[in-house]
Amino acid sequence: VKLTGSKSVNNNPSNRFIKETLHKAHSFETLLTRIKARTPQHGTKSLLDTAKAVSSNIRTSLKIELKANKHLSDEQIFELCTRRNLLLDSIHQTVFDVIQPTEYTLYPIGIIAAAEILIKDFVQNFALILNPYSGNTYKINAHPHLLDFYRDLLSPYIKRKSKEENKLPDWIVILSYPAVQSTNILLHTIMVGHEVIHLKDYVSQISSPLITTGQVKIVKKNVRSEAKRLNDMEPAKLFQDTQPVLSSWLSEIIADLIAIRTFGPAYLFSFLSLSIALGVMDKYSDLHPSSRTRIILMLDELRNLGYMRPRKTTQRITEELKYWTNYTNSQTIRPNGAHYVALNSIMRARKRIKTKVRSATTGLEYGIDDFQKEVPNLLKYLKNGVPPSEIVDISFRSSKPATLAGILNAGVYLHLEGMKEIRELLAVEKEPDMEAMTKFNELLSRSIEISIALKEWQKSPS
Amino acid sequence: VKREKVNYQSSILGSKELEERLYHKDIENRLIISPLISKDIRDGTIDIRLGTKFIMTQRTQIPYIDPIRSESDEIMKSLQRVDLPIGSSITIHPHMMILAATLEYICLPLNLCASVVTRSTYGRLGILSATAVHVHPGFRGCLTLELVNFGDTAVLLYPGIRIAQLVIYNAGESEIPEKPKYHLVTEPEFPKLWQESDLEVLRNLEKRASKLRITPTTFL
Repeated sequence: VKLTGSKSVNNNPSNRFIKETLHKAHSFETLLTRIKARTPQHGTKSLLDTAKAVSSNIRTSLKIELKANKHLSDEQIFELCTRRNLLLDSIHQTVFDVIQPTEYTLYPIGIIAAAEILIKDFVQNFALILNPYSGNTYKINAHPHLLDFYRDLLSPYIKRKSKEENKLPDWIVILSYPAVQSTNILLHTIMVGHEVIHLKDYVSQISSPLITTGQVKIVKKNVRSEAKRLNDMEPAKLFQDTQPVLSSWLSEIIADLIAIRTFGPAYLFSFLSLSIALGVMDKYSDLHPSSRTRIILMLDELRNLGYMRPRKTTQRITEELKYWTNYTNSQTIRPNGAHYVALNSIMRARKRIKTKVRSATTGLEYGIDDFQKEVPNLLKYLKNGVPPSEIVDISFRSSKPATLAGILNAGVYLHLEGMKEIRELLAVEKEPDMEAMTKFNELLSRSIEISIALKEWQKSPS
Repeated sequence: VKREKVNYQSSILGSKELEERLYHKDIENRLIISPLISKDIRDGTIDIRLGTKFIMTQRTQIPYIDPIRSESDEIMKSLQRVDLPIGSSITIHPHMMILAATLEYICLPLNLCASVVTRSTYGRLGILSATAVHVHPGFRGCLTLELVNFGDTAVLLYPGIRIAQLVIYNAGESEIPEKPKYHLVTEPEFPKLWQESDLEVLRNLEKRASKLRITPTTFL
């Protein structure tokens, strides 16, 4: 499956993932240098130096292997990238299991504000913590009424809540992300798009009502046929195993589909990056269906939002979506046991899932019309080395802040095109691709921060 | 980059001209100040706000910074980056210096230059906001303010306060760079002493001078 069009030649998906892998290692090395400058312990300094050398070796080996094998298929290149990413994740974990995250770049403050605004939509009184950690996936943990939980355990030997205790937030929300990806703004779409929706799902009960009596009947039917196929499998045991898998997969799919409807293609491309880096395109676990399954469902939603229709301003996106549609259809791996039953049951309930998601996102969608109104304007700014934070109306001499989805989609568009303009503006001789990607992320981070600040100022009556 | 024909007379842009340049139809010739809060343009100047990214000096074991011998590691040890979200504050103590980025991202077309001036409101508190006041044509990025408290009282600084003003001029022909290189700065940067162009010359001169230095033993 190949992309067409002149602009696609230098930045097809496989080239893009090579650059992303190299940039991940590059960012890791920059981070290690910064941490080393304020580390007093000699032993820690040696660990940081070793990790830097490992990362540099990972980068070089990828370049050499690609040079030695010039006719690799996209799938083979993705595999090479996955292998390097997993090695990077492993050394990253070794470092961040030992080191306290004190470096300021580990906390993208624009993202904190953006996530807070999204959470405020369904939880009022909360405190948000961004947690750069040693793992390689995104996570959300939320503790509702933490103090009350412990007070209940201590009851009845407890005094009334003090004034200070009454002021404490109802929820403590922790968003965890890989420390090495702290400055990768596009990847954070997963955090603000998908992880935050898990909390919304919990609070607003979106996925759980989908498991109805009718759904259970479908599951039981699938259990019987799968148990028969597997011979030695007890149907009752298989049914029991399927239940947690089904509920977990449903919540993942609901979060994906809400994220794709509210953030448009930006979410899909972040998800693709993470899936290839983790090598989970065809892996099923008890918590997550395979990425291929999830992408098929997401592409359906993008089709519904109008992104598959070829238009001049979204040409690059449409080309890519075609590529990924062909890619996901090209091969499928059949899971076994509970995973198969869950997958089959979900696919049969697709229509109901879509209806639920669409009703949960009414008025919040980022469809093709929103994209066309906003992204070309923002892209013009980004290509000129300006953070795409506001849309300027020349005729009315006014401006309005860009939406978070608009900023992320403008970023994705330029990323798909290869960031040639930023490379030219920077005109650096050493590692121009890496420098351009770093600068590109800084501009995006800055624009999220500026657009939020601008909204605050425009809200103020004075 | 397309260069618009201008009358190369160095003159300050008034409010009307500023507005013309801020909403110029051609993005490459547009004066971009983002975020632009309309009430910040007054009397031919544009107020600029304190951003969220800072570099603070800190006490370390390094005895001094030698501008011709300092390595990047050494400078990074003596300076610390701080990020503050809008709504929080930072304290500037008497005789303390803080490097801060502006909230605004500024983009000057090739025929405009600017200078940064402290707002008198803060100047009267003893806070000076800029020592490197000239902004060259074609600059793209957040400005770095060198904030110094010359007063005797500590002052709290909040990201978002209008700390300085930008005066925009038409650029004289000699000021326009032929091939501008953009850094697209979004945060204050560490001083890059190790990248100074004439370091080698200065080191050689210093070496020669130390050989020639007359010490009391010469007379013995």
